[in-house]
Amino acid sequence: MKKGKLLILLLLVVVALVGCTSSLSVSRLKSSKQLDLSGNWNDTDIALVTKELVNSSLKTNWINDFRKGNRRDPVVVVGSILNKSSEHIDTAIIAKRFEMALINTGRVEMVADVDFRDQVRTEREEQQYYASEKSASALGQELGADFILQGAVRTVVDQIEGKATRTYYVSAELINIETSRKVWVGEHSIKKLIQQQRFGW
Amino acid sequence: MVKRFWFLLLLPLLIFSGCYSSLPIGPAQSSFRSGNYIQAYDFVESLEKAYQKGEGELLYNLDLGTLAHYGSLYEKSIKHLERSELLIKHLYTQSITENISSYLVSDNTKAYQGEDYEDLYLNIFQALNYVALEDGEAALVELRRLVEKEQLLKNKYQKIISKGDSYNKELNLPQLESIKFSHSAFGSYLSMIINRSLGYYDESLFFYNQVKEAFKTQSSLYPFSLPASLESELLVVDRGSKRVNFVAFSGTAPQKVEVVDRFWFSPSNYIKIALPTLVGSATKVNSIEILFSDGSLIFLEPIESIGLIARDTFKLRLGAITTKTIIRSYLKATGVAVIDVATQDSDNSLGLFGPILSLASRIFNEASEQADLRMSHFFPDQVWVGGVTMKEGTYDAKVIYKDRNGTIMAIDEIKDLRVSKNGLNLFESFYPR
Repeated sequence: MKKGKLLILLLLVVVALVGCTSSLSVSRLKSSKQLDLSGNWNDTDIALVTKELVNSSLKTNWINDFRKGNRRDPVVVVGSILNKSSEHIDTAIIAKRFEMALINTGRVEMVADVDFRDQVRTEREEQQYYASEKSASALGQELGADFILQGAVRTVVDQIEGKATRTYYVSAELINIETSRKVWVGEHSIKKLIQQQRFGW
Repeated sequence: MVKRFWFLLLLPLLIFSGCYSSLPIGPAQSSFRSGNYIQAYDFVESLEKAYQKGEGELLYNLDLGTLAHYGSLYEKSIKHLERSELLIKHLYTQSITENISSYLVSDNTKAYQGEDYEDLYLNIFQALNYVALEDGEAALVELRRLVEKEQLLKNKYQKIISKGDSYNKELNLPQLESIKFSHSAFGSYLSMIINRSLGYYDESLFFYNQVKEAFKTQSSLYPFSLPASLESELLVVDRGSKRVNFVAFSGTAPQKVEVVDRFWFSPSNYIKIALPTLVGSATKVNSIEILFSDGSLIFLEPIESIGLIARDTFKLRLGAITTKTIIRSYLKATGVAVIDVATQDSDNSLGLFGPILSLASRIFNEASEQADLRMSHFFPDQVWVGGVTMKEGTYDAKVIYKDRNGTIMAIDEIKDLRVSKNGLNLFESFYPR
């Protein structure tokens, strides 16, 4: 009899434990926490790269030089950051971070990215027909950019079975649109060692 | 007489064990062969449980990925092929328990890791998926990944061959047959034309040279001449005209079949060696021409035999499979012999169980020793390419597949083929015979 009760109790504990087990678990992490799961490009890499590149671009005197010569803040447009790597990387995040950092200096003006400009122009054109005369945005008043930001992400992989080094080279440059002169060129690289065991349980 | 007795006993088992791991994929294959790719896709999708049970998640995704591509379901194809690539990467780490059981039972107890050629061509199909979605940059990402894999395989093959040769030298055995494959001419061809379309001319020139290099250094894998149209691919075209390229696939890549040998070392005991062999008749397509609505005609030329590359890259793997199969078969036959000795012992320690155990061990030996025939079912056999300079505009085209007698085997009609200023202008056709 005692044995039977003990068995039922044991079964209940097992059932309770199984009931508590879930195949899905989610926990919030600090966005600054470094966590590498696959070895691929991730948020930590974006943070490292943009921080280094933005610092590098702000250290050079291109903003002051422009302000001295033109008595106004330079206007920058974000061009394309090309993905020349072997991973599907959303390079728009790098461009956006760059844009934010430049705007936050309070010494640079930004205009709509090349990709979004058409959308803004369409909206403005449509306002001429559908918005009231008073509220419609005027045509031909766009702020012309002085500089364009361009860049690229490249990867170099050296690998043997189970082991690889993956190096990301992220380069960016600011080009004076009128003169095609490069006023700043920066590059930051990240090297990772990725190892995978041949056998596991 | 005794031999016959054992065969008679094992005959029913042989018949049934043949059906053991077969996937009921027949209807999907016949839909595929008749060009109903979406129907084939739907059928394979309905077999998810059967795949998981027998062939595994990797083959399920590889089959769906290729069929979705042929059926123009490009987003779905990307999803399945991405999953396949991830699984191949994860399956590099082999389970120790699965490995042990593969030495005791058969290679079918291990998760299927994918053949090298499947790992390579899934990136090529991914690149073509992105081309169809007009995302040239993403297509190039896939082709860069292909180059990385080719380099990794080259290192792997060199390592295996040099290791194997040093063992063989010690044992006075012949040297291992080298692997001819180092890089895909078709992969380089795609890189060349996509880079050219995006205006990356330096990269395009590099891959143009890589196509030539592939033909030159791997002549046994490329038993045809370099496509004549290649020479015109990087020439400057007139304003208002564009270079337009075509890729056609024909046939189906080889499949694995089981080849069984039995070596009798006593009247009632034998070693069964069951090995996979790649078989498949090459495509019956002998020429492909494209007739445009403006009356112009171009011929496509072969650039790659996926079948030959599959066979070449399978060679080293087959060597390892053979060694393992021999060890395992010896172990199993030894087990049978040990039980026989114990049964025939004067003190007969096994008693009545002896003959039953002996029979069971023989049945296990025969039934469990099966070659691992798992492989994707829908990769093509041969790749054809061609290029022509055309005025921007919209055309209709007929892709005509002919056999060696010049008889038309199939016509694939491409409606509203748009040659545009900023497009990739790369079009595809497929005939699975």
